[in-house]
Amino acid sequence: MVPERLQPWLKALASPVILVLLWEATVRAGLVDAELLPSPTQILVALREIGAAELMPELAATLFRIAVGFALAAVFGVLLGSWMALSERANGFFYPILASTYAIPKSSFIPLFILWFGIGFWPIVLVVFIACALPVVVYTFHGISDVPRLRIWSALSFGVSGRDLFWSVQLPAAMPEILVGMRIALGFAFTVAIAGEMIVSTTGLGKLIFSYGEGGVYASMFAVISVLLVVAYLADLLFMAFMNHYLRWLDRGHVSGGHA
Amino acid sequence: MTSSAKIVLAGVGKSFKAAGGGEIVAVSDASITIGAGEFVTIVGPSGCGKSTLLYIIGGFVSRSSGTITMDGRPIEGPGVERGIVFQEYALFPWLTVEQNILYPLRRRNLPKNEQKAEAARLIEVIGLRGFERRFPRELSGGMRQRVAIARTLAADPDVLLLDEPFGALDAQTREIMQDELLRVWRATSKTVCLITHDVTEAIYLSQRVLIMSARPGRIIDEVRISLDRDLPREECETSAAFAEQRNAVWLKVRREALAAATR
Amino acid sequence: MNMTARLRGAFAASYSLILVCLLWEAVAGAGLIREVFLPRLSVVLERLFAMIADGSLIEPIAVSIARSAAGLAIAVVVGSILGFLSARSRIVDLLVSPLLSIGQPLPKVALIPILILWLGVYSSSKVALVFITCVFPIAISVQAAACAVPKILLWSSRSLGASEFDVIRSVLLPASLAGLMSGLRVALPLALLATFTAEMIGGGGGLGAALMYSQRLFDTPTVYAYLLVMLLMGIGLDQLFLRLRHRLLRWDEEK
Repeated sequence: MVPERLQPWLKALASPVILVLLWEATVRAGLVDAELLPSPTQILVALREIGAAELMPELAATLFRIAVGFALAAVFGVLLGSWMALSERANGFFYPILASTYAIPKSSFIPLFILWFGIGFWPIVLVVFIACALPVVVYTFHGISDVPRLRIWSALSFGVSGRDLFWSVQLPAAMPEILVGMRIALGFAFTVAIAGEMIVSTTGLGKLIFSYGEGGVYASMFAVISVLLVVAYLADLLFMAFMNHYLRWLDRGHVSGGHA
Repeated sequence: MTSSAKIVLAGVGKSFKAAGGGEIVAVSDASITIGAGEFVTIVGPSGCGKSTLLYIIGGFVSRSSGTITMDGRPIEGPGVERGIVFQEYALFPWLTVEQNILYPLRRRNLPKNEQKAEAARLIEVIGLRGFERRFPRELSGGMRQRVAIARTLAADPDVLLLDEPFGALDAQTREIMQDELLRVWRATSKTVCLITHDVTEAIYLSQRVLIMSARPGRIIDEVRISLDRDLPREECETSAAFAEQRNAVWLKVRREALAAATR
Repeated sequence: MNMTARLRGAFAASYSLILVCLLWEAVAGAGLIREVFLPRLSVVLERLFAMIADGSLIEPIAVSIARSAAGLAIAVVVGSILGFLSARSRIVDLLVSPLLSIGQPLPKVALIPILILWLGVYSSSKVALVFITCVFPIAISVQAAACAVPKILLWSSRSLGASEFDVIRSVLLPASLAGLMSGLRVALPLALLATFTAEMIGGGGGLGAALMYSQRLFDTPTVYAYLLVMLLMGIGLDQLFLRLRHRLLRWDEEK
């Protein structure tokens, strides 16, 4: 009936497509107030009306902040997580500090950061940074700590130690875990950035969303939110694709190496 | 035969702290001399500490007592002169076959083209030409161990340590790998120390078999193997001399295994 | 372990925190940073105790907790049912799983303006956000746990004469419960976070709104005090959860 290759695609898309069709049908049939819940086609129309000129700069601004915050957190997180994994003293020192930041909603630092840095680039970037750093640190820590000891010993028997050992063995071995942590961090980045922009509501996509909301132009508000969700989803998809390519050596039967 | 002593252990012991306090003695009072170019096997029941002993020789685990030297100098830690092949986790799964073998070559300060040439030669030796760009996960167990051995050889160590290297392989592959190892040993005249619980393997491969007791592991016996090594494998393993020596060793190991089980 | 040994142990474990507190006090006290940016820790603590003493903390905390709890409870019920049914029925799996995997990475906070539009600015929209945020990890976790029950376990219990109902009760439900617990561990802090975020953005009472209010007044010590309260709540809840898990899942201890 359906060719084998297409089946997973069909399975993945059937449900969302049905949902969208139901959505469209319900609004058209008048079962739902179109003011409160525009149909997908109405959202697309509103999107065209907003136009790229209005949307793109804000989208670019938001994405740029997310990218910078995320990149900084990734580098910092890997370095700190590795340090904590390799040094008992570093672990003892930083763990309580990290554990206590865990329970605070990072977006609540936005008002503080606005106070310190003014509205614009830095508050969002910093908030994204501290939101992303924690998962990267934790997953890096576990990744580096869980490198099988025999693998380390193999490297040692080649006369490798210190920095060479870290960069050529421990870090690559930990990458599966680290990338999982980064993927989670990416999700946090979007959440925190959007929350921040909505709290501030004078910049980026958050500004657009709020101004349309205040102005009662709900279809446009839905349109921008949809763009946001789609972009976040695509970012996750891209990251997964990157992850799968980078980790193509991974034997998925055994996550941490197995009998290789 | 052996001309000079390569590795000497005198009264080496190792104990660990047990979880609930107290000590576990893994190895007690091991005194071994391995001659240069010799092929020695250590057999013993499971858990007798033979792996620990090998790790001490490799320099990965520190000893609690006794002395251990190589070429007269004390062994303080791991080193390129003592290569090791583990049963599992031997290769780096994120590197291809060629990259794995190049890993120690890069660190030997050879010119780039010599590195590549040596890697190619080793890949040819282990019969894996055409698999250079494969990742370990695409290889069978036997192929992976072949690459592991090639990689250890690439570091050009004087001594080869092997920790039950063929234990995870099926019987046929194991036999093929054993012959490979013998071939490599004869061609390179390196000193080899192998750990196994398979007595047949020990008799077939080595010149001398050291028998270890159950925990705390002590070397309780030593058997010099005399076999006509020019015979093909089928004849060698079915000969009376083989059976006799194998049985002698096997009985001793079995006695230790039973003693451990009833303790 | 006697008292001094315990205290010494606690100190050793958290000396960096104490260091941070001292540093905070010193830097702020030295006037290196303006008071409005970084008030002294002692001032913040003083404010915090004052807020506890005059009871002004009770309402925001109660409101936020109530919202988180309500949203979480609904998420647990709906998520568990969805997860369990997806594991048992291929049709449900076909319908639900794609939606779960699409929804999981999406930033649910983006929906806040929509929820406010539909449900207003008070508790309903917050509860709805908490529900939407928490239902995904719970459903995914329960589904994974129920699917992971090795077929062999199911077959052997059937061959021992258990009926379909017995199998569900004695094998699948405990496994799903374990999945629920691990999903809940993720969802619990998310619930609080979602509530605080929704309150910070939309107002309408609760700790998040209180924090934003004091920020607009530039009452920084109070802002920091609220942050501390959120922190303590998060830690307290995690501890509570661990104890609950220990009680319910004695047979499946996590390291």
